[in-house]
This record gives sequence, structure tokens and C-alpha cells, in this order.
Amino acid sequence: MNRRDFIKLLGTATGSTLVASCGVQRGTEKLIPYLVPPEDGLIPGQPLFYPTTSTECPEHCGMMVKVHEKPIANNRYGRFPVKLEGAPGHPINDGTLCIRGQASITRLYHPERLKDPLVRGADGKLSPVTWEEAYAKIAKALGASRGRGHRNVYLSGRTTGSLSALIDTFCNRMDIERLPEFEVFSYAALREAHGVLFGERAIPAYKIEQADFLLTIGADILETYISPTNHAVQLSRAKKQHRFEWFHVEPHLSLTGMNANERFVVNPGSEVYLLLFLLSHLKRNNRLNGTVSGDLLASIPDLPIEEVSRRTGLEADRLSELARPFDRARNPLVITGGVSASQESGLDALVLTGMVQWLSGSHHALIDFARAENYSRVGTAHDANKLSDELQGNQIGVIFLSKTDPVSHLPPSFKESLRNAQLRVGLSDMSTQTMEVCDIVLPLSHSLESWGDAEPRKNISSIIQPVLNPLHNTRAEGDILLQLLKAGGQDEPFSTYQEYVLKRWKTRYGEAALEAVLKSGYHETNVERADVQLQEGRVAEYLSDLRLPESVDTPVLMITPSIRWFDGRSSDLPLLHEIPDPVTTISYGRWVSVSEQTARRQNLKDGDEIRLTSSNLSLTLPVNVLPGLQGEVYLVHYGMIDSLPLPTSENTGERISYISGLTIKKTGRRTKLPILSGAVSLQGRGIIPYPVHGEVEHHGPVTLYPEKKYKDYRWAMAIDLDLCIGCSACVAACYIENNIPIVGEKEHLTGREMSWIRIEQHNDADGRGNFVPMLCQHCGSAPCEPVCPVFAAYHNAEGLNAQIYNRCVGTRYCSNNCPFKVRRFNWFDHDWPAPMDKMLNPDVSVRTKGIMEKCTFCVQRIRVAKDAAKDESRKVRDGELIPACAQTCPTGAIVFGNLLDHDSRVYELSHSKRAYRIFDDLGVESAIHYLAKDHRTVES
Amino acid sequence: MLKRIVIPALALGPPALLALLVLGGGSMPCPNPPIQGVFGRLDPRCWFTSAPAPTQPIAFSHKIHVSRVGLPCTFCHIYVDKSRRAGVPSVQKCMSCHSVIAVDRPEIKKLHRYWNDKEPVPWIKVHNLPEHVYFSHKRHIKAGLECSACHGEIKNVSVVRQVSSLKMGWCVTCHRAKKASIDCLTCHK
Repeated sequence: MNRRDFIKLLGTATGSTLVASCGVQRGTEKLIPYLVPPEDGLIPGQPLFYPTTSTECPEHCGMMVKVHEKPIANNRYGRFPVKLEGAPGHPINDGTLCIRGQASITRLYHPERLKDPLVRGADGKLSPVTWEEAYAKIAKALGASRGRGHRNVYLSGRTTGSLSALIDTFCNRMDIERLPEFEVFSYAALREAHGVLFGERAIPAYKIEQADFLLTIGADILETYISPTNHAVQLSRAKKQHRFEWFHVEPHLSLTGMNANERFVVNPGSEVYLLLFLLSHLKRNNRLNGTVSGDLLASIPDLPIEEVSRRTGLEADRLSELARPFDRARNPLVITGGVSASQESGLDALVLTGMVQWLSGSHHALIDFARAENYSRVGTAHDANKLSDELQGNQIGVIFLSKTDPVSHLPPSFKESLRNAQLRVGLSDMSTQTMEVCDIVLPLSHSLESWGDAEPRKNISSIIQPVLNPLHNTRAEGDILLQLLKAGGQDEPFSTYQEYVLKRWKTRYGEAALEAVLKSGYHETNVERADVQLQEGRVAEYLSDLRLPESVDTPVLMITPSIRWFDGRSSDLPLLHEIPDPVTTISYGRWVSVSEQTARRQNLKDGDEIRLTSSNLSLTLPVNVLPGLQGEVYLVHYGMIDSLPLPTSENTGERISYISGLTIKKTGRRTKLPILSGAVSLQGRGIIPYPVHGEVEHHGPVTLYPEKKYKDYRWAMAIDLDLCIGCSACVAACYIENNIPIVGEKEHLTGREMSWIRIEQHNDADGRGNFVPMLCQHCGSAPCEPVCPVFAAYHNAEGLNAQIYNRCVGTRYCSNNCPFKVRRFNWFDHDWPAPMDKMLNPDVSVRTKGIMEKCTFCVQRIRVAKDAAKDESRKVRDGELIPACAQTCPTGAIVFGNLLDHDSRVYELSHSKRAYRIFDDLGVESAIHYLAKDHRTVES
Repeated sequence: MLKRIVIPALALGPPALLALLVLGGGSMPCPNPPIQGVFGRLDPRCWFTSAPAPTQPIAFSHKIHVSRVGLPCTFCHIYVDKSRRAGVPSVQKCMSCHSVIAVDRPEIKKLHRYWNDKEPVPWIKVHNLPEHVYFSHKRHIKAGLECSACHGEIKNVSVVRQVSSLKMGWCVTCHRAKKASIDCLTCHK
């Protein structure tokens, strides 16, 4: 008897017992017809796609929402978004979406969303009321506070487009003062610097795509800086289209830094010296041929290179290495931002950056003020401090706090002063620290439940349209304002915000444009180039007054933005805890990263708890030793610690993200951190080969497996490691597309994470990152297949390494035999508490306890593509079938296709000189070719 | 084949034998309705026949609509060649005829009540597939299969019941015979 017959008999015997004892429940499922068929062409069983705009961060990427029909209560169907995808052709993100954008669908279904309007009762607790009661209370308080001579104010996060216009109308008519908007990343110093340089306090669009040399100083262009998804898209185009070199300077370690061709670590606060060095280099070698006035050039101070070297901590030859590309590059681009801008000398650094850019001669080609970001309403930390003072002076009556969380970002004194307002009205989708001090909390609908629009840049308007009715008793901010106007006795022509938005679009762009926008999602206005001119006199004056900064005292605590949580707002989403931070590979928890030197000196290991204290701060956090980080720098992400007492820069109003004057003490306690990567070095395993096609010993033709023959398709993938930036958007997309459960910290600590695709990090000795997306390799001779006793794992005729869930009995032999560790076992049944069950992709089974699961190359999408192709009696065309990971990848690093089609992109890339397969010497014939980076040395 | 099942069943003792007896008891009649008892379980005797014919909220007769009136299946099941699901006609579709036809019949009056109450008719689903199965009506229709190949002679019955087992073996037999794909991933999602 062979093993299959044995299992078969076992099945027969136990199966028949089951039949006799249990029976099957039948006849309970309903088949519900429509009352009236839908008019928008929805075909039952097939998804619809609607264009809309992401509101998870201020970048406002264009999205396509995939909507499925699902049965709800009372014999009805509801429509529910199941996946967000980038809108193809959108001027910002062009069909891609970042990790936060992908995860933002979970915000809609978040079980902890605010579900009803809440009013604080006499007992100090918030309890649900009706909307009308809440409105009446607000209207009464507004009148009362005006009577007492108090000011009523409206504070929001960055708001653009129709909503901003409506807030203006609302505030004017209700005699409310609209305050400058509160954003943690206000780019105040950058705007101020452009005011000094060009008389235009704006945030321009950077044309990274057209640069051949990019120098970024502190700017986290891939994480949060201004328009990160757009930067990634442009970076990829630049790399593909022409010679492109990228240097990054930073005092810490960021994902952006890990991706640059060269990374220069400087002492904190020494960027000004470095920029002055570059300026004096350009003073001698600029291409402006004397168009810049002599006075201006003369005002640039000359520093001896030894001084620059001493201050920055960079050797003289490293400094000249940094300056050299300016001589050979046609279009150099310099961007300073992030931690280098949010420091005491941030304005100086940004003005000097503007000068470097101007003298390099490519300012007009690469920096576009006509397509500037709409940030004019965003305030600075000065505005927040002023509000705090006014609150303390009892000048404020009613304060509206809409979609903003100043309490968790500002020092604790702000929370105290907020209590002095007569009435605090909060508008939010979830309970935040700010909402906890509010007297009335109005629950906001998610942007997928409401109408609206966004104007991230001067030339881009992007529509927000609802794809489902609000899940809870929530309303859109626009509707609330219109209803408050009515409650305040004002005559209001618009009954809904939808009317307001559509009317505004019709007036601004015309009926035809609106029709087009409802299909495409965005409207791009043609704008003329607006060439700004350097205010030479002003800049010369500025430079002559320049005071060179003192060194920043170490040890220093640096608060840095992270790709997962932005300024902390996205930490509400459990998925963004489940997916590890790509820099540290830690998933859950809070930690402080320290350098290897610090760890050695203080005898710290991963998980050792330390206490950081300064005059107004006391923090206790576990340590993560971060290779690549240098010196006495301690790193913490925004969102990990609330109400940090960060100082404000006097001249710009930028919040300084450094806290120095620290004492560090080891507490002796240990916390277990879920660090998902065992080691970031290659340990000689050759996952990234160097040199490419080196002397790897192949087993060659000696194989015991029969040769695999494929007829129509051999699905395969090519992943370009030169383009992969480790942003983990693919991971988030995979989670949502494939109904992968979130298992939590406890499971992560035991190594039971469930991600089907992960970002492996293998670092160079000098901290440059090599990111390897690791997923099922769909091996031609897969080691997992022959060990499965029940044929749940098998190889199909199209090259897919299939896993049949209801055949799987959970022996886990396959997982043990997989050299790539990409198979995941369900140790438990995972819950999808309502309304999260509505988020499930109906095309993918939800796996239960005891089942092995893994990447399927999105077989559900393969089915759909083959179905469409069969309808037209043809084969699937190259490019029409894209798995979720490849679709969302901002840099287009992942290419999927049919290896048998010799014209396909995947065939071309798999036969590139850079192509190699991981563990090829095992003879597993994997279907994924990785394309190694050029000109790289890798520690092995 | 029988020997291969009976021998290990003997080895496994009385429960398996009992099960075999029950399974083999095809001669015992399957009651109608086949769902019995407080727990709503399928009567074990109906395992082979697997033919629940649930009582529908309206005693709709396919026989009248197809055989007597002559409507093609796709008149009502409009998505059958467009989607995985065949689709049930909307109440509006029923009303497009029945606002004038046979309005005095009791069953049609039931339909009117649903329509006036703006309630969809809660039909009981007769053909159920497990959740892990991907099935597309469209592919089967486009391959030239008749509806009756799986659903039986619907045109002759007034109460619909399941006539095919809809079990994997039944699917695969046909797939083999018609040289359709028998790759697991074709149907297992």
C-alpha cells in the first residue's frame, strides 16, 4: 500500500463515521434577489472599481477602490471595499500605493472607530447622544461664548480643496476664527528658507526623475518627506532612464539613507559646515558663468577643510568624494529636510541648500514652484504655542479640533491649557488623546464613506467619492459643517456636502471635466512654468549674518519619522504594527535604536531597557542595536512617545527633533523585542551574490526530479534589487489581498508571523541596505512538494507551487523542507470581528487552524485574467495580470509574467546579466529571478 | 473496490461497519423534507440522494415558466454567461410580467406583497458549494454545457431539488470526460 492509498482509506473510515454521527446542515443558505437591479453595471460575483483619493497622509495619492457585493442583514446586499490600489496614470503615484495607503482600508473597518456622537456628562464620561443634541449644544455654546466676549476658533490638520473652502465659509458666517492648520511635519523651515531665497514661501515639486545626481541631506524622501510615493516613483524612472547617482547625508540611519548609492554619516547639527564646503567648491566651479553677482559670491564664507572635517566628522577625501559629482553631473539636485531641517540651524542649512542648487545651475530644470504643494494654510509651532498662550489667558470660548491630534504631539502643557477653553469640540474617526479631553466628540466618516476632494498640489485636484454607506452613525466633516450652519440659524443653500463638492467642481472645471473626473479620479490643470529668481541682495545679507552653529551635545535623542506611522497617525492601524519596520525589522512595541559603538561601550544588547532623562524628559525604552547608526545618537520614531517636550526653532517655528543633555542609564530589566530578522548579514549564504555570477557551484544536471514541462504558461517573477527600496508596500498589499490574519505580538515573539512576503535586509558593512523581498519561489523542483503526505502541496502545469488548503492536514513537513522559510502555519483560528469580516477578499479562502499557507502568485488574479483571455480565445497578455505586490510597488521593482512568452518583460529581465536565483545551487529551479545591484560590494 | 473499503472497515471495528451499513442503505427512502430534528440535520438516509427540495417562500414553478410559457433560462438568469454567478431575477423583473399576468393567484399575490413592502424574496438556495470552491457559470456555459447537465430537467419540475451530488468526484469525472482542466487550482481557491 503506498502512502496515498493509506491516507485514502483513513479518510474513508473516519469520513463515514462522521457522516453517521454528525450530518450536514443544509437548506439554510439564502439566495437573495435584487429588488431592483443595480444601474451602475455591477455584475454579481464581479468587483467594481471606483476612483478616489487616499487621505491617510497629506500626500493624497489617487486610488482605485475594489468593491465587492456582500450579503448583510435583512436579506439585503451591501457593497464593501476589499482592496485599495493605486490609480494608474495619477500624477502623484501612478498606479502604485505605499504601505500606509494599502493599510488605510483597515481604518474603515477598525473595530475601535467612534460610532456615535459623544457628549461629556456631569460624571466626566463621554456618552452617546443624537446628532441634533450635539449640534444644539454646540450652537448654544457658540452664542454664549460670543456673548462673553470669547473668541471661537477652528483648528484642523492640513485641509485642501472643497473642505477648506467650506471651513472658510463656515467660520466667516459663524464668526469663528480659523487658525493656521496643525501639522507635525509643517515644513516651516523649508517655507521660510524659500522666502529668504526667492520671496516665495512655498514647497516646490522636486523633479527627481530628471536629475542625474541627487544629494539628499537628512530628507527622508522615501518615508514621509512631502511626497514620498511620488519620490519613489520618480527615483525608479530616473534609475531606469539614465545614469543616476544618489548620495545621502544624515546624522542617523533612515530607510532613505540605506537606499542611496553612498551614505555619509555626519555629526548631528553639522550639516551647515558640509553645505558651506559644497558652496565654496561651487563658488570656484559653478556653471553660471558670472551671472551671479560678485557680492553674493563674496558673502559665502570660506572654511578650511580641516574645520569642516572636524565639525562633520567626515575625512577630507570623503568630503571631496561628496563634492565631485557636482563637477560631472548635468542636472544635480540637492534636497535638505527631515532631521537636518528640524534643528536649530535648520534654516541656515536650507538657505545654503538653495544656494548650492542655484550655483549648480539646474535649479530651473529641477525645482518647480508652479506645481507647489498647498501648504500655505499650515501653521508652524509658533502658531501652536500662541494658541496655547491664548488658551491659558482664557481667551478662547469654543474650540473645534478637526482631524488633528495636537495633544499627543505637543508638550503636556498644551493639554492643560486646552482645558481652559469653554467648550472643546472634537471631530475624529478614532479616539485620540485630543478627543479624550474634548467635551463633544463628533465621529467622522471614513473617506471611503464620504464625498470630498483634495488639492495636494496647485495643479492637481483629486476627487473623493463614497463607495459604501457609513458603517456607523458617522458623518463627513463637510456635512457636519453644513448642518451646524443650519443649527446656528444660518440660511444654507446646500443640503448635503455632496451637492457642495459637485457644484464647486462644476463651477471650477465645467460639467464635462466633472464627468471625466468621476471615472479617472483626478483633474490636472496645465500650469505655466513659474521661474523664481534668487533674491541676491537678501541672500547675500543673510549669508553675511550667518552664525556658524555650535555642535549638538551628545548623547542626543532624535525623533525621526517612520515609513509605517508617518507622524504617528498611522499607528492606529494594527496592520502597521504587524508589518515590521524595514530599518530595524521590529514589528510590535516601542524601542530606542542605538549604535553598535554605544552598545559596546555601555554593554547593551537588544531588549536591554535604558532610561533616558533630561531636564524635562524621562523615558524608559528597550534598546535595539542598529548597525549603520553611528555615534551617541538615540533614535525613536514619531508616534512611539506622546507629548514629547520638543523645543521650537525661534526663527522658523519648526519643531526641533533633537533632545540633548541626556543622561542614559541601564535599568537592568529586559524586554523581548520581536526582531523578525535573525541577522542582517549574509552569513556566507550568498543570498545576494558578489560578484554576480561568481563561482557558485551548481549541481548541474544531476537531479532526481523529472524534468518539468510547461505548455501555455510558466508563471514567474523578476525582482530588481536595485529598485527595491524596502518600503514594505508589497507586504501590506499582500496582507489585504490574501486575507492574511494579523496574529499579534505574542505570536511574533515565538516566530509565528504570517506574512507571505517579507522584506529581508542584508546590509553592507557601511550601513547601506540591500532589501530582498522574499516570497514563495514557486520552485520548479520544489522541496516542499514531495514531502506532503496528502498531496496538498503539488506543482501545477503552469509552474505554480500550489497549496490546496482543504487537503492540508498540517504535518508542517513542507515548511520544514522549504529553504526559503516562506510557508506559514495557522496555529489558531483567526478572528475577523465585525465589521472586519466585510474586508475579506471573497476570491481567497480564509484559512483555518492547522492549515499551511503561502504565496500563490495571487492565483485568484491569474484565474480572472485567464477567464478574460478565454472569452476572447487568446492567451493572457503580458502585463494584464499583476499580483498585488507587483501592482503596488512604488518603484516597479517586481515584474510578473509568463516565462514561456519570450517577448514578456519577465523573460527579458530573467535573462539579464544581473539576474540570479537565490540558493540556485540547491537545484530547486525557482521561478523568481533577482536582479542584483550594480557596482556593489556586499559583505558575505 | 468494495473489498478495499470493507476490509479496513472491518479492521476498524463496529463504528465503521455501522457507517458502511448506513451508507449502503440506499434502499431506505429519503424523507421529504430531508432536514429533520431539532438540530436541523440532514437525514443520513438522504446522503446518497442528496436531494433536498426546500419549501420556497413562493411556490415558484420552473415547469410553468420554461415548458409552458417557453422562457429561455437566460431570460431570468441573466448573468449566467457573464459571471460566476447565474443570478436570480430581481423582484422588479418578476413584476414586469406579473403586474398584469395571473395577478389573482395566491402565489402571485405573495409576490406583490414582497414588491409592495420593498422586500426581496428570501429564496432558499438549493445548490450550495463549499466556500473554498471557485466555480464559474460563465466558463461552463461558454464551453457549451447545457444547464440541465448539472441542474437536471428543471423545465419539467415544479419544485427544484438538487439532482447532482456537486461533490468533487462528480465534478472531476465530468472534467476528465470532457478533457477540461483537472488541476486542483482550477476550482480550489
